[in-house]
Parts: sequence; structure tokens; C-alpha cells
Amino acid sequence: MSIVAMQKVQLVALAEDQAEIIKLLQESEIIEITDSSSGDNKLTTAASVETQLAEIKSAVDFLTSLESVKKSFIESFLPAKEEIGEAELMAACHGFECQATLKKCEDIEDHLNNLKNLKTQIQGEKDRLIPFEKLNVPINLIAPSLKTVIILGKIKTKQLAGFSEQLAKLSPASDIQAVSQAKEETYLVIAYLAKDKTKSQDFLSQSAFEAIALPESVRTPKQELAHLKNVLKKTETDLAETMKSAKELGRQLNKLKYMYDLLLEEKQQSDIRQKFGATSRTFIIEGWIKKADLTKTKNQLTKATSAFLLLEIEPNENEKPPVALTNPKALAPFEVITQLYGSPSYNEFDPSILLSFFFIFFFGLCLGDFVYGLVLTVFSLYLMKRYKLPVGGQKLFTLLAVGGLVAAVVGVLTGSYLGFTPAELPATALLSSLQIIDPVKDPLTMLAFSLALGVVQILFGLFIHLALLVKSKNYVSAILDDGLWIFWLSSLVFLAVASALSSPLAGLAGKLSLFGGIALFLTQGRSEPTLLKKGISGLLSLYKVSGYLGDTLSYSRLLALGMSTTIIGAVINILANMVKGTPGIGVALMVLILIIGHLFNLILGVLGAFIHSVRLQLVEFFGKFYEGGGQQFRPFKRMAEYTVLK
Amino acid sequence: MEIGLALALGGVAIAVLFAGMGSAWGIAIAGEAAAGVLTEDPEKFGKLLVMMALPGTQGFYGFLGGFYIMMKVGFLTGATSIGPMTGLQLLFAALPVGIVGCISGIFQGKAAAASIYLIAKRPDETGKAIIIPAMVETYAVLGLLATILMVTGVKI
Repeated sequence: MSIVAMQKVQLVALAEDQAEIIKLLQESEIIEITDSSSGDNKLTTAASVETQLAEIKSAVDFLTSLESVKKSFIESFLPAKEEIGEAELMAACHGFECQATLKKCEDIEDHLNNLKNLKTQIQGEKDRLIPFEKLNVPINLIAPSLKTVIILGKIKTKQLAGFSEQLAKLSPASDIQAVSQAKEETYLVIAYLAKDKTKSQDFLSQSAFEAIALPESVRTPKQELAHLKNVLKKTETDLAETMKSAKELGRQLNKLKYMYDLLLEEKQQSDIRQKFGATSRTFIIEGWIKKADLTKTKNQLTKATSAFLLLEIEPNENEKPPVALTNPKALAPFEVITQLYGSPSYNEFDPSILLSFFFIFFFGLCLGDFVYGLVLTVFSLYLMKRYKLPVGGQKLFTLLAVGGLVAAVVGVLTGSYLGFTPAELPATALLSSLQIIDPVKDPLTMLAFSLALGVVQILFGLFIHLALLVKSKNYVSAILDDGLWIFWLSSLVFLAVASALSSPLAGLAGKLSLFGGIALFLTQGRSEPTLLKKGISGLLSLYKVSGYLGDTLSYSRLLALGMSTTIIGAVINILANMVKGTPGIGVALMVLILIIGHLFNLILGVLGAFIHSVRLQLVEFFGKFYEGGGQQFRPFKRMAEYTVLK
Repeated sequence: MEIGLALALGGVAIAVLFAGMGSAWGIAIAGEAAAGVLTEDPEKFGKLLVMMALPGTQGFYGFLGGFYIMMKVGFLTGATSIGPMTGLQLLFAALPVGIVGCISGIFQGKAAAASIYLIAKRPDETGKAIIIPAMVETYAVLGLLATILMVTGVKI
């Protein structure tokens, strides 16, 4: 239906024009290049390019982490790429001393890390010294001598008495001096005779005592502390200065990014060369282009050289053409949903148009609130205007924008305005007259409506399958399989509705469904060899009706999701109303709850509405007729990390 | 007649409690996987956040079911008194959303964690990765639906 016709081509040109032609093809995004190299003369991308890319990337990450501007919340989801003209980009990179900048960046990063480590180290030493500040002896003198051992450390204050007692018992000539006391701990200097060393050491290591080693120095703890304070101050100034120069270097950030993208482009060009075939003077590119683009491609190539040959060739035996979809602009966004399942195969058809109405309607039903819908539409339009989104994102947000409008309409019809009902709003009379159903009060009707939509879509799916069979001239299957099933399912629905309304037509419906069932029983086993097997498999095939029943019930989610958005919205309003009376902060609290609550509900509602509407298309609808399995058309084009060419 | 109201509130508690636990558990499973992936690639936060939020819906369905029962008995607007049998009916009506919500929440969390690994390796396939856990959620939706229909049908 709307799959683009593809042509495999072979391009032969002179080796000297290669660079220019690659550039041209990359810019025009016109051809998907397949591998036509003989395989033995593989050129590999220079490893140095890869290293260089990695180096620039790490420098960019480092400089970005120093930038004081925080990304907006939205940007953390959609990293915005800078728009820049190619000439501008080249000019910026020209004469830019990339290596020097990288070196500088690396140096600064190292220096910063060293300083940070030093700072932590000094801080640690200071912390250890402070409790012993009162010791008025140079630190290097607090050391074991020939006859005595001196140890510094701390112990929990409540364990101190027991500890001293035990040590005194063990080594009578020992001495414990408390130097200072912090919250729960006492800092001690312990001295004992060297001859008691082994047993004292054993005792100390088993007790709750914790030894502390002071930094080595000839100064007293107090002097050392003063000294450390000076060093720390110096380190901090140094740190601040380095930060400043790092920030200055941050001005080169843009150029680094440009450089990265430029190198990336070169890498792609050299990567793609590996797929080329070659003779001594020429090179050969094979690939797929859209049939309609043939002349355009020739015209483009003429810009680079006149010495080329563009041949239409036959694909290899097992080669399948890549698939590109084309739809009228208004319906193109729905391709996103088809792509989610997977591209159709080349000789299948594109179901995007067929699902468009169902999807957008289901989305609206699931979100189903006037205000939420409008907010979603406005937000999507804003995003598309503000950020240069890739094609896929553009399509997705178009879908959401339209879906929001449908949701707003559904919201009016079901009387849901930010969770409020028309009765709670001004202009009640007008809004109530627009409301045709209240799903919260009357869920059964809404459920019936949801299931009816399901029946419609499932039968539609079967019709499509029937049409496909007719197209492939498989009339027997078309009539006996799809035709009979459609007939039987419709008659069953007819029967269910008629008996639910106790209509006199129920009898007729019953006869019709009996007829349908018998017809299926007689025909579904027709491919089996024996009469017995025909009968059994005909009977078993009727069991498929449970599958259709399950599919139909699956559409009940339309009701459940629509109601949940509305009711949660209403709950948020009730909660907000409850806190309104809080003295002082009541109104502020109410506004806070309203904003956060509704925002949350909106995000959750949109997510749920999208996922479940997609699911109904992919599982319940596509299951009836669609196969997929095609390769998406991916033309050779510029891929950049930070920039978009104007 | 207070026992009737107590039973109905028991139903509210079951709906909110179990479905909420299931969601919390499921999000934790998905969150552990997401945190692991983020250590390698913090840029994926946006995508993974969506995956982590997926098992969160059960908690809302439970809350919704509970709230529906509260509205039914008029609990927030000055409770009407209801008979013990009516209360018991509402209690039973709460079971589908509570219990299915709990179990499907946990399992949706597992499916979401698996999808998170899929995104880690093939970020282009995020769309498909989102659909997989959503398949599990279907049954929570059905549970909610059953609860809502049952509550609607109860006569006060």
C-alpha cells in the first residue's frame, strides 16, 4: 500500500573522486550501502581516530561536569543538539589546537584530583590531631624507647575504668593518661614497660582500645595543627584557581564538541569505505535507493564528477530490499507504531493507515480528560517547536499532540475536567448538555462500548486478512476461513446483544450462529486426510472462539484506564480541598498538591494510554493479519553526537 | 450496623495495601536493574525512568479500587450505615484488584528489569522494551475492572 519501491544499484566511479562522492552521498541521505567488498583488502579505520574520539569525549564530559548551568528537566530526557551551519563548524575547527586543549584539560583534571585527594588527606590528619592538641611534646618524641612503649589511642568512656584496671593488673608499671574527651570517647596516652610488650600488645588488640597514629612531625600537635591549617588554606586557594582555569577552558567546550562530530563523520566515511569494492583505478558501491530517487541520485552525483556509472542491478538471490514507508503527511506519524512492531516485509503492505483511527481514538478514551488533553497537546507542540527533535521524536510528539486533542473531546463527552465533573464547575448547564455519558456512575454502558470497539477492530482485522487472501487469489481460504469466521463471530455478537436486550430477534440470531458453527465444523478440517480427522479438527477449530473472546475482553482496558485517570484526578482535588483549611499554609499546600498531583496523574495517564493503545494495535489487531519482519531502510548519513547541521 | 462499614473498610485496605505492595516490590526489582545499568551509562536515565514507572500502576489501581468503595459507602462525606452482608460483599469485591495487583506488580517488575537490560544493550529498541512489561499489566487492569464492576453492582 505504501511501501516505497526500491532499486538495487551499483555505482562505479574513479578512485580519485571517492572522497567527494562519499561526502555527497552522506549529505543527501539517499542510499543504503551494502557490502560489496571482496573481503580480502579490508581497510581498517585508523585506531588513532578511535583513541582521539575517546579522548575528546572524556574531555567534553569533564568540562560539562564543571559547567554551573544545570540542564533543564526536559533536556535530561532529550539532549538538545546544537544547530550549526557546516561552514561555521569547519571555521570553528580550523586552527583549533585540539591536542593542546586536550593536554591542558587532562592536566587540569589530574591536578584537580590530586588537590582533592590532598585536601581529604589533610582533613584526616587534622581530625586525628585535634584530640591530642594538649600534648605539649613534639610528635616524633612520642615514640617507643628502649625501655618503654608509648601508644596513643581512644576508647569508649564507659569502658575506660575496666580497661585501666585490667591493664594495671597485667602490667603494673603501666600508665594511662587521658588527654581529652569527646562525646562518648576518651583519648588516651598509654605507656608501659618494654618487657611487658607482648602481653600488653595482645591485651590492647583484644580490648576495645583503638590505636591512633599521628602524622610524623618534629612539631608539637598544636604547632602541627597550625601548620596543616596553612597547608589546607593554600590547597584550597590552589583548588579555586585550578577550578577557575578549568572553567576558562570550558569556553573551548563547543569547539571540542565540533571537533568530535567532525572526527565522527570522518570515521563513518572511512568505515563505509570498507564496504566498497575496488579495482586499481575505480571503486564500486552497491546499495539500495528508492526507485523514485534514481534521477535525483544521478543529478546529485553529477555535482561531484561526470565520470561515474550508476547501474540498476538485480539483487542477490536471498537478498531482501530494505523497507521505507511513505504515507500522507497527516498519517505519517502512525508509522511509529508500525515500526514498534517491526517494518512490514517488502512485499507486504503498510498497516499504519489502518490502525491510525483506532489508535488515536483509543488513546483519547484512555486519557479522557479535557484539561489533561489540552495540556498534553500544548506541551507536545511546545517541545516540537523548542527542540530540534529527530524524525522519530517529531512523529511521536505529533501523535501525542493529536491524541491530546482527542482526549480533550472525550473529556467533554464524558464530563471530566481535571477530575472535576460539570456539576462542580461554573457553566454546569452548558457542560452537562455536552456530556453524553458518565463512566464513573455508569461503567457498564462504557464497558459495552469498549467491547463493541473491540469487536469492530477484530472483525476489521479479519476483513483485512480476507482481502489479502482475495488479492493473492486464494478464494477458498478467503471464504471458508475468514468469511465463515466473520459470519459466525458477527452472529454470536448479534445473539449476545439480542438476548441481552431480550429482543425477539434472538431466535433468528441463534439460528444464524448455529448455522455458522456447523459450517465451520464442516469446513475447518478440510485439509485433513481422513473423515474422522476432518471431523475432529473441525470441532477443535471452534475452540478458537475463546481466543476471540479473550481479544475482545482485552478492550475493556479502555474503560478501566479512562476511569482511573478521571478518578485519580478527582481524588487529588478532594485531597487538595481537605488541606485547604490548614491554618496559615492551607492555600499554599492546596496549590502544591494540585500541581504535583495532577502533573503526576497526567504523566502516568499519558504513559498508560500510549502503551495500552499501542498494545491493542500490536497484539489484538496485528495478530489477525500482519506479519512484519522487514528490514528498515537506513540510508548512509551523518551521525553526530552534539550538533545538527542546518 | 458498624460491622458492615468495618468490613467495607477492610476491603479498601486490601485493595490499597496489596496492590501497593506489589508495585513497591516491582519498582524495586526494576530499580535495581536500572541502577546497575546507570553505573555504566547515566545518560539512559530518562528511558529507564519510564521502565521503572511501569510496575507502579498497580498501586494506583489498588488505590482507585479502594477509593471507589469509599465513594460507594460515602465514607468521605459522612458514612451511611450499611449492613454486614453488604460490607462483606464490598470486601470480596476488593480482592481482585488487591491480589492480582500485588502479584502482577512483582512480575511486571521482573519483566521491566529484563527490558531494562534490553535497553542497555539496544537503546533503539526502547519501544519494544516498553511493550513487554505492559503485557503483564493487562491482568491488573482486568482485576481493577472486576472490582469496579462488582462494587457498582453491590446494592446499598
